[in-house]
Amino acid sequence: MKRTIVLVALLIAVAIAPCLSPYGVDEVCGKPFEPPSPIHPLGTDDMGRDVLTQLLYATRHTVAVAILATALSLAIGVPLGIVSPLIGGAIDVVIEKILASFMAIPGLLLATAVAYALAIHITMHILGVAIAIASTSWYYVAWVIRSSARQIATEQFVESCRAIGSSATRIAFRHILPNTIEAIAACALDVFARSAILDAYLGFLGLYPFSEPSLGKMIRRAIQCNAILLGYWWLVVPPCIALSLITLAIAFTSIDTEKTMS
Amino acid sequence: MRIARLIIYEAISSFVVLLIVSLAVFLCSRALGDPLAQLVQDPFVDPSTIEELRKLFGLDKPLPIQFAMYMLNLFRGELGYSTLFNKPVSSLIAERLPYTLLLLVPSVTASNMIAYRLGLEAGWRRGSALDRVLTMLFVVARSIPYIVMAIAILILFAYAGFPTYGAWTPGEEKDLAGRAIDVLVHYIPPFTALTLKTGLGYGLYVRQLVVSTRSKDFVFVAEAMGIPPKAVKHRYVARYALPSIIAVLGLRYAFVVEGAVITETIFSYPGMGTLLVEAIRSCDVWLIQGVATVLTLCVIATVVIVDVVQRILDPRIGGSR
Repeated sequence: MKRTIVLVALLIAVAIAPCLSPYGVDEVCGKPFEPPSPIHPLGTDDMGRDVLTQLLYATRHTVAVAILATALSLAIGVPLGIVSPLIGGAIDVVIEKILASFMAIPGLLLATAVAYALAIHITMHILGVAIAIASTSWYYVAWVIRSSARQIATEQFVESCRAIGSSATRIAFRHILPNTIEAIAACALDVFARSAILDAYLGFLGLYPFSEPSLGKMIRRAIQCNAILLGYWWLVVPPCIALSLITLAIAFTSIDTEKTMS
Repeated sequence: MRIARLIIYEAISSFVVLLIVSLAVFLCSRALGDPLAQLVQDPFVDPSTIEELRKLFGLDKPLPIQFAMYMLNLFRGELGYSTLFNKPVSSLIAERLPYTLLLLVPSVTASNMIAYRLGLEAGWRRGSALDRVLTMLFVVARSIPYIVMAIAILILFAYAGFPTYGAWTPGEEKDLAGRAIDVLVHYIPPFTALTLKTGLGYGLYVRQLVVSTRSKDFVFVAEAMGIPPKAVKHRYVARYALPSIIAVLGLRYAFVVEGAVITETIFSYPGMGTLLVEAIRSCDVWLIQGVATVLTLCVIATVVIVDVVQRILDPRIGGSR
């Protein structure tokens, strides 16, 4: 379990860290492009704002969005994926086709459209981004869980359960759900990492209708002011490392999960 | 016969999928906002001109009729007019699609082979030094976000003297061989980034499937029967895991569009991905619809191929149900 600690420590640090910063997110507190110094440990950006402060807020935002989006997509995807192969027949085929249709839509377009549509109506921006991201991952969850449940539904013990007259609900909750738990755990971690990355993609591509600082937006700003060519590494490297840390922590946790489950 | 029926069934159902996706894409493009918003804000544009434009583009009609018009035009091969580039959408796509296909098809093929070979070796020798090295590589490649990896590869190639902008050097007259080398040199950095990310990233899935297959009873039986390990690896373990491997490798075609968008943006490659992002950002509805529809068609085609292959390979799922 020691690998999971990385994730837990990261989550706690991310939740507390923004309160420790002496600067505000959008506070101009120095000259533009100041290199790292004791006052600004990661330097300042093109507008003279403290990069470390922005990084802390952006990481917290990205993690919060990822948690919410994962919860939302599991809540829709898991029940759908388990029930669909049990019902079988035409309904299962229809659900399969609906999931396949969603998987064929470019996820970035769907997420952007949902985000822009919600941006007008929603005041809680974190929730808006989370819904936009979940709208592109619930069908992925349903697809994975469905294919896992479909394989289990063809096993002999499920057939025996049917033969002795177990109800469909009992088969779903007592037999199929416990057997897919491995797939669900793997899927949840996967969706978490994917949500964080998608949040970064939206910010990076400039498709973010919300004003929150995000890791993707920081990378975008850095590239827009040519930080790579001009050697302002402190604008590019920190958000990249923060994003990689989130996803690496997830990867370590999923190695742990695999070891615990098998 | 079974395969022919399968393909017909897939063709019909993917047509339905295309209808649903077109509706979703249509709704998505309208959800982004008013396509004429920039003109409405412009004080020099007469409101009556905007009304005329709305009538011309059919934007004054209710949404269902607009959707019907869009679908009718789609079947006539008429994709509309891009307000951003001032060109027909179809000519823009004809310009950009070859570059995206040039990037995606070889990259996907190469990365599938990498993922299958390395994943099988690592899973087969679970716990060995080779497995540890490969697994570490897989985990890192899979979990490092693609943006970060692509930026790192961009910096590396820039140091090595490769061009990292565009798909060719503009403004130079060259013979055919010179042009080919020029395009190839521009092609290597984005190709490397995309192939490494997808190939190594999905090796982990293949490895996990191979590992879970190895602990099945029939593998022990095969080993106990004295079948040579190489035959067990290829004919028992790999064969049993193959349908699941293909399902997983097929799942990522959804990622491939995303991957194309990010690769093309970071390496400023003139493909469909950058076109889509530009269209979304400037609310160019017809361009969004056209690009998204073409990308969707490509994805549907691959999903159908993967599904047919999977059904042929896995007798348990059943034939042309």
